[in-house]
Amino acid sequence: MPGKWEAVIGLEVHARLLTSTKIFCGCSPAFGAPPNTHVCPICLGYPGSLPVLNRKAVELAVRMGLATDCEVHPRSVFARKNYFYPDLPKGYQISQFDRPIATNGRIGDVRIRRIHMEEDAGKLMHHGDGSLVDLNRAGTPLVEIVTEPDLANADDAVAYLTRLRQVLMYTGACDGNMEEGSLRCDANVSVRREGEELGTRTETKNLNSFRYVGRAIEHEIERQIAVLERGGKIDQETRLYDVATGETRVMRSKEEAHDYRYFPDPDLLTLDVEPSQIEEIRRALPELPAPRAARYQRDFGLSVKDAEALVVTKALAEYYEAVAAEAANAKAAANWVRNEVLRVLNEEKVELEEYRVTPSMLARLIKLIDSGAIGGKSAKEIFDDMSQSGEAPETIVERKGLSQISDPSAIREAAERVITANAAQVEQYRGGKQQVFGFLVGQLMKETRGKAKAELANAVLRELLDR
Amino acid sequence: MKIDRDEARRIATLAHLEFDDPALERMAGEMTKILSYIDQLREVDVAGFQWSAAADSTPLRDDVPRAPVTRDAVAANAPAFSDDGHFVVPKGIGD
Repeated sequence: MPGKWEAVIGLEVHARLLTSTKIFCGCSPAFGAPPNTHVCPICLGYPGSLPVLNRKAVELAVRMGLATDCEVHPRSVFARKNYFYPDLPKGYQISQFDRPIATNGRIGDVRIRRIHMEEDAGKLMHHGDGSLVDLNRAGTPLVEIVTEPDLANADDAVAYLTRLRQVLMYTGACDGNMEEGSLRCDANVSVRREGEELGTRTETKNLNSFRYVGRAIEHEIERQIAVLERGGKIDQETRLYDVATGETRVMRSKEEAHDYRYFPDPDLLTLDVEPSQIEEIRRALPELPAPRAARYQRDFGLSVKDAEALVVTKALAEYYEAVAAEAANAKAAANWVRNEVLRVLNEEKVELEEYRVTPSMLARLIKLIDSGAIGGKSAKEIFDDMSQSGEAPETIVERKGLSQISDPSAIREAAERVITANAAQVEQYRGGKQQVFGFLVGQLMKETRGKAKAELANAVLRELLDR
Repeated sequence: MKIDRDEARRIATLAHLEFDDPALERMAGEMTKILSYIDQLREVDVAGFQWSAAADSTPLRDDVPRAPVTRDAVAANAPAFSDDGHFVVPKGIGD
């Protein structure tokens, strides 16, 4: 009996580096400008113009190499990748080929084969019987991050991409914005029977959302298995994912001498980065999401889920840590940030950076709860108020009169009113029906508008009833 | 190194150029001549030559924006330019 089918997947991710200028000229790489307004002789590919490498792009690429545990090479080489297409004005793309800036890294269990620097191409739109070309994007600095074929299914691929995106954003190398194409993914997929040799792979191009990556991979695995089970063979080709149909289709065949005739670009000398500079960049790296999540579990006693949810972005992790430190209650801080803060941000579509509730405000709210000054129910109300008004928690407690009653005499008065008003239930309780006690506590909380301190309310009520 | 007619044809295909057989023959001969010159260079004794990192590193530029060229200038050099600022090119094969 033939073995079960298994898929072998590798990903190539293009990430736009967060620079103020393009990789080889001083034009802005900003997204969304009117067509052909961010161009100059260099990125238009005019003869005689010469590329000069952007220092910041190199620094960001080195950061990414270090953040993914790659070996960063003090010397790398730019090469010309030749192909004819109208979005590529020079007739070649400047990229790195046999000597990329970084190799042999990993993100979790997924090995990174290489990271190289290159320039983006322009944008081509088909229109009537011609095509329209916008070269604003041409020359935008990219890193291409290539994995080994270590992924076995669509879920693995999406999980890897999620972590990669986090690392890119933590290091400040890329804004991670998939809608604007800051992150694009190509998926290499092949299938084989368990234990057999690698099958022929196809490459599905330009997947610009995690969802599409997942769907395209699933579809491609199914398609290849179906072809092979029918006795057909897989052609090595480049395919496009069609968002509308959820299928992949052939874009071009890779068989016919798809030879890019790479050679070292004579316009650029070798890229040399001093080892001391690499070390300096390494020292300046922020704490990355994986070690950070591990630290939260170890030092703060958080669950894996909580820890992972809090390190999703650097801003969120920093927010959380500030709350936890000031509140001196890491677990409560985790609950509030994970459940309440994220809910409000999500509902109101606000960024953390512009959120009204500062870490200090939330920390003080937690302290008010921990000291017994306010009850849990009031805390939620105060939190929502803070989110809306941006006022300090103490001010809101004052304004709304939400301070928890911890004065036994005030609670006693309220309890006496409850006992008078619920004579029948009191009778039942005194007759031995203990369950009624819960009801009476509920009435007391209602009477005090939830401000009675719970333990105190219980004690006082029991004392009066058992008298 | 000798370039034969088949190799010349392969290179021509990659460069999207078409030649008839006599032209391919001629190109193969010329390319062989060029490569023989490279072979000659290989005979130079370079033992003991040290690459120096400082001398041959590519220069780096600070990440400071510079003004782009005006769109009028861009349009002036384009064979065809649309009103909304795009280059217009013929549709490619398979597009």
